[in-house]
Amino acid sequence: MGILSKIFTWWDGATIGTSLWSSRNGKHVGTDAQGNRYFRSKKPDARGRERRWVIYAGANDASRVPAEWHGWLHHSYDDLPESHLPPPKIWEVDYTPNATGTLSAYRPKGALEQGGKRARATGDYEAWTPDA
Amino acid sequence: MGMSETVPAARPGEIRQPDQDYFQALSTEVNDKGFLVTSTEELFQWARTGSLWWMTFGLACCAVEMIHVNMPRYDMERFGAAPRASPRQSDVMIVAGTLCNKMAPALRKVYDQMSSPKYVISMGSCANGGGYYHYSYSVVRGCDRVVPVDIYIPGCPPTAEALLYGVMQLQRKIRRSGTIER
Repeated sequence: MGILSKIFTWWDGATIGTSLWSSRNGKHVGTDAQGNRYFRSKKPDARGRERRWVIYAGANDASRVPAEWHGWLHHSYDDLPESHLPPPKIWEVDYTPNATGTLSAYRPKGALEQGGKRARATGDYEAWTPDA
Repeated sequence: MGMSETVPAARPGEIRQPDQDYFQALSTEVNDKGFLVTSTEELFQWARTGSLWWMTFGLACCAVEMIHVNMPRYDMERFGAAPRASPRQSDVMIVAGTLCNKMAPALRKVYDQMSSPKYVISMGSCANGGGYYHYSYSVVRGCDRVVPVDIYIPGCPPTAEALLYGVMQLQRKIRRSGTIER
């Protein structure tokens, strides 16, 4: 869609105002594995702290920020994640954003999408009936 | 009864599609103009997600967080979601707090007064499933026993950020599954 969707939609990436603001007042400091770009402000804000924000590559969903960048974004630590975080362990799984509403969303046993059948309770509790 | 001769009305559960020829003609006419290149459904979804006016149904402490999300720090109006005091003007109802048995008929009445398309966000443990008051004698065990719920927001109470994320999830849901008829 190009320029029209940039003007009229707000759920994919930055709007025109945000990208203009980011190019003028922000400094691009890093990009994560999904392509989200992270910015810090050139000048500190009124409280003397720099502002940090993200421009998503794709849908504007806050759960797409991975754990290491989430800490940086919320001022939990000053430096960029790759500068001080330990290297990822072999047993770490890749970060996945919120899958609600997609086909990869979690369906528990007994969900209608799984067939709606659940194994019967094994007698660890006694169901109450009004007749008893 | 002689009903077999007449044209049958819509049976219960039957879904009638809108007049396809009319939309086709409208679509070709718009396409010939050459400047509007979106489909009608996407236009409808854009309009619906862009102005989700919500009915303030604050029932308990969750309503405080519902107020926070409208204050300048979280500023929900930048997503087009503005509070309305009248169900006739609102698109989404945020059920925030414990739904008592005494309040349930009023909640249903307000939901019925809202104009279609209408959505419901259930906010907090009490509205989701009774929560702390699940075993109380006077509390509805979840507002989905009274109204159909689109988005459940967990928490006791959920933070203002969580409610904001829930509203954005509702917008995603409308864009994902949106049709002209709701």
